[in-house]
Amino acid sequence: MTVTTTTPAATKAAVAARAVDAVKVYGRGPTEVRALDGITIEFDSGRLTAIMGPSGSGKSTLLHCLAGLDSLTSGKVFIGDTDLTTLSDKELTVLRRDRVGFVFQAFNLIPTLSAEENITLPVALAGRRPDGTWVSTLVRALGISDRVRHRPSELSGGQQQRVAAARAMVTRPELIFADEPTGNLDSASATELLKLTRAAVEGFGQTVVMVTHDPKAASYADRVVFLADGRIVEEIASPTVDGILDTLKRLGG
Amino acid sequence: MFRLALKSTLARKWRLVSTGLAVVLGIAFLAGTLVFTDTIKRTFDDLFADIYSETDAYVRSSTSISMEFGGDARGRIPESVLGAVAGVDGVADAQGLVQGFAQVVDADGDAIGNPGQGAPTFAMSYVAGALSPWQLTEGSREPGPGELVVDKGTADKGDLAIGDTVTVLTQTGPHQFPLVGIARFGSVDSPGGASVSIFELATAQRMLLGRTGELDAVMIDASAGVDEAALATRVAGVLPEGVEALTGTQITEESQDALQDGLSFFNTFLLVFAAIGLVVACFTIYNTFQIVVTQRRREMAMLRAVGASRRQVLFAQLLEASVVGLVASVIGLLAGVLVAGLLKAMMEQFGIDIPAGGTVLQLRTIVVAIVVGTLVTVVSAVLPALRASRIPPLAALRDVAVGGVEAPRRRLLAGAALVVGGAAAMVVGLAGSGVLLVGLGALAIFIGVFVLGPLIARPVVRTVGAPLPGITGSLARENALRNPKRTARTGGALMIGVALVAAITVMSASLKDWIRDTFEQQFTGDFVVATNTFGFGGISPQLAAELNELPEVATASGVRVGVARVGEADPSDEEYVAIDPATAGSLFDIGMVEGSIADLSVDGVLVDDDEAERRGLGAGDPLDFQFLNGTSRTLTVQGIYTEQDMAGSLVVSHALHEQSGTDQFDLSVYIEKSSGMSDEAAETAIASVSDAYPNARLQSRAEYIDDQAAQLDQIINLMYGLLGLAVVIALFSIANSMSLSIYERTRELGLLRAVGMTRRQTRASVRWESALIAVLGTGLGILVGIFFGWSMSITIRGAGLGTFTIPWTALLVVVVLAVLGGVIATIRPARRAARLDILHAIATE
Repeated sequence: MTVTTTTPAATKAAVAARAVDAVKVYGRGPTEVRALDGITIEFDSGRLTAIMGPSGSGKSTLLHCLAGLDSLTSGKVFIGDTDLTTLSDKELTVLRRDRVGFVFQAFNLIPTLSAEENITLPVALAGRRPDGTWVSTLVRALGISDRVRHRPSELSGGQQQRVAAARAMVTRPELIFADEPTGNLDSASATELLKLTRAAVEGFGQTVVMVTHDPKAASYADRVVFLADGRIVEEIASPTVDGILDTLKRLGG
Repeated sequence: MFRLALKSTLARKWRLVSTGLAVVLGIAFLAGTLVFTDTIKRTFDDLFADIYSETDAYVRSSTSISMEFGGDARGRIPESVLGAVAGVDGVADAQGLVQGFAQVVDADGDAIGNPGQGAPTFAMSYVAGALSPWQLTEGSREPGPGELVVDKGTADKGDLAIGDTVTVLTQTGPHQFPLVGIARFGSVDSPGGASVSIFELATAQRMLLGRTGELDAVMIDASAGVDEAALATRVAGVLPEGVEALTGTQITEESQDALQDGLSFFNTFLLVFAAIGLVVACFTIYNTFQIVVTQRRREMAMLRAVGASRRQVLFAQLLEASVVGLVASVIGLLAGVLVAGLLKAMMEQFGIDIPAGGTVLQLRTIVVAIVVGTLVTVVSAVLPALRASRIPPLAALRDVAVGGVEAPRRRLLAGAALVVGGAAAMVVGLAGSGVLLVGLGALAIFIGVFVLGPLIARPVVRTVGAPLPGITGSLARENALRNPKRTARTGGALMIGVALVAAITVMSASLKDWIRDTFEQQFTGDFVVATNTFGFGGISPQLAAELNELPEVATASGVRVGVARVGEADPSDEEYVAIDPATAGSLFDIGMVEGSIADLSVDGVLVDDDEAERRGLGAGDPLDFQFLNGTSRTLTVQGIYTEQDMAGSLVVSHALHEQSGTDQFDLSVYIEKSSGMSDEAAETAIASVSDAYPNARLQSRAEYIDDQAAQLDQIINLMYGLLGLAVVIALFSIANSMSLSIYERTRELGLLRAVGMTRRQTRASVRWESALIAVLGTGLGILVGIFFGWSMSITIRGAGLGTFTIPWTALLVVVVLAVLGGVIATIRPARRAARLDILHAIATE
């Protein structure tokens, strides 16, 4: 952070992840679907990027391919300098465990484990000891310090998503992927989670890529990327809710 | 509704297959047993029909005494009967028959056959002409005086060829004969796997009986057009008292029925194991259906919500069970034919060589297999189906509750009552030898432990699972704990299998210790020349006589057994032991409380104290004996003894036994070496004599005692083999349950994989969980098994509650194997869990 370049807006930060000419085709012949149709994009470090688009636009597929959960038909995806398309299942698993974090729309937690055990799950899977200070910093920042001994069934939906967020950050990943993280929450809980996400980006320099339907959620991002039919069709920086709604309307979404 | 149910059943084909496999195995074993025993029976029925195919009348002694382990011993008839019968009008041919125990020695000097456990070995006189069942092979001729013919099976086994000089061991000792013929028995090489040596009549009499003038039977062929019943009646007219005539049909049927009796014990023995397998299958199916009903809770509630009645839901469930049961039974039946072959191979492995040709699949087998298989499945599904029918329509809207244990107090009381009641029933049954009561008691204990299981599962899994390493271990532990009822049910099936294996392990260890103790106390000599013929023949008394000539031997005393009809008012057929009073006293300590072995005379009998009490006898009292040759004698009780393990309940002298009309065979010859003689010198001297009797083994006292204990191994190993089936079926319970659990946890597994669980870790976690379930089932099984083993041991030994042995090492091996089995059973589900498509899994609603 000591090295600063000239223009603040155009700070050429390191690239946390990128896709190069990414193509994903499902099916064959007449039923062929091109979920990703040659996408090239970069995600800067320390930024919150939102991906929007109508159902079937390929936004979830893009997220899954970036996160090493799915493989491309052609093209390349990178996390940092690592080319995901060259990795084995084992290597992808370790990458997901150590270098990226996940927050899904629902069912983020293992019901038999306590909140704390869920948070430290990736560390435990790696066979390491969790960093106690970091874990308590996280649970305090996310406001769930008094809930860590509880099982997921004893937590509210908002608390569950915050536990998931803590889990996503526990390994200090290069990147967090969030797939409709507020999709199942009431608006108060959703706002709370988005504020916390924003705080993580600003406070800890966390990089987040978030797929969402919700213009309000997307307005928390530094940048919104719009997808349609597997292509990037629009992009806005420092978005507002109105700006996003206008863009969506224009795109016919 | 019917079509809906059927459709939903067929939509889940794979689950049906795994549910049905338990039934398939159980039914395959049941059908296999029936096919196997039917095939043996058919083989022997054909054999006897062959033997007597040309026999129209059959003359024999009317004195028969039944033997303890089935079958009758029968006396002989004077040879003069043959002449009288031959003169009867309508008799075309009449030939005398003599037979007795004999064993052929092969080219390497070893005795052929294992008469104690397999088909018999015997010698008989040659029957010529139409009556003869024998077909001489090329280059053979009928045996003349002093010549030998053997069946082709024996010749092949012993590598014997025409022209060889062959040794045959008989009652009168080892004899050598020139082999002049090899004969086939009808169309087979040997009659039912037996080894037969064939002599000319007078030679047979001298070799087998040591005298001429006696026959076992006369076989008669009628002249053309003479009715066999009329002929038998006419023949009976010329017979002296004590001799009877049967028609050919009668003797054929009698022989077939006798075999059927012998076989029925064997049949029952195997069916018990088939039943055990089916009981375990019941538990497995019950568990599977329970899980399935839980998983389909929403579907059922939806059906109820759209208007299905309870009855319809119940019916749909039972219909599914019926389809599974029916299909599994049919597959099981087909597999049963293969199992029959396996059973035969397994019996051969354990030294029981049973001839069985062709495969007999009776209609009865088909009906029994399908009815039992379907019934077992449907009955096991009744409780889960009832539960399904009680699911309220509202459940469709609610989330599936993860099971705790409801009403723990009621469960505890019910389970405890079943266990205690079952244990009581078992003890009472064992004491009164009520086999059914023992079985029901055992079943009640199993169900009781099954009911208690969910209460025990939580603390056991928590404790045993505590040291499991890492996150995979703790996930496995938590998963096993999340539904204690399911965990307990799943382990429950294994509990049954393991309990039975453990029971047998404990029982055999206890019995072996008991056998050792018994022989160590009651046999005081130095060497034994032993056979394992269990009374079907043995060693010629010649051997003991020769041994007694040796300066290295102080005493050699043969022990023989016989049967007699004992008592006056209400005579019963009893087995007795015959000893040589002059020598036996120094070799055996049977706890004489009155009289002494040495004072036993030809008119006397020694009686076990329990037997004496039963018959109200004291020393000096008379006891009536009727022997095989028809003679009746009133013996005097000359002594009472307390230890009946070696001596049985009645002991008489050789001198008396020799007058009973029974062939004289020593089962074993017990030896005390001369004082001051080294063991080596004595052994060398004894071997120089006993080597001529290859059907006997020379053993030191220690070897003999080991050997007696080891004789249990054969039957115990056979039982282990048969129980293996129950254990395998139980492992299906674990495999099914784990598969269903993994299906249930698809999203969870997807999440775990997404956040960085490797495939290896996924598999490990599934394996640990099944290992925990297996440990629970195995642990409970071992406890129950020790109780079973203890109650059986003390019943058999009848000597106080403490006299039993727990073989810890062997039980540990059982535990390790069972847990390993549980892990192996989960290989497929574990692999499925690891191969899960992550995206698909996290998208699963």
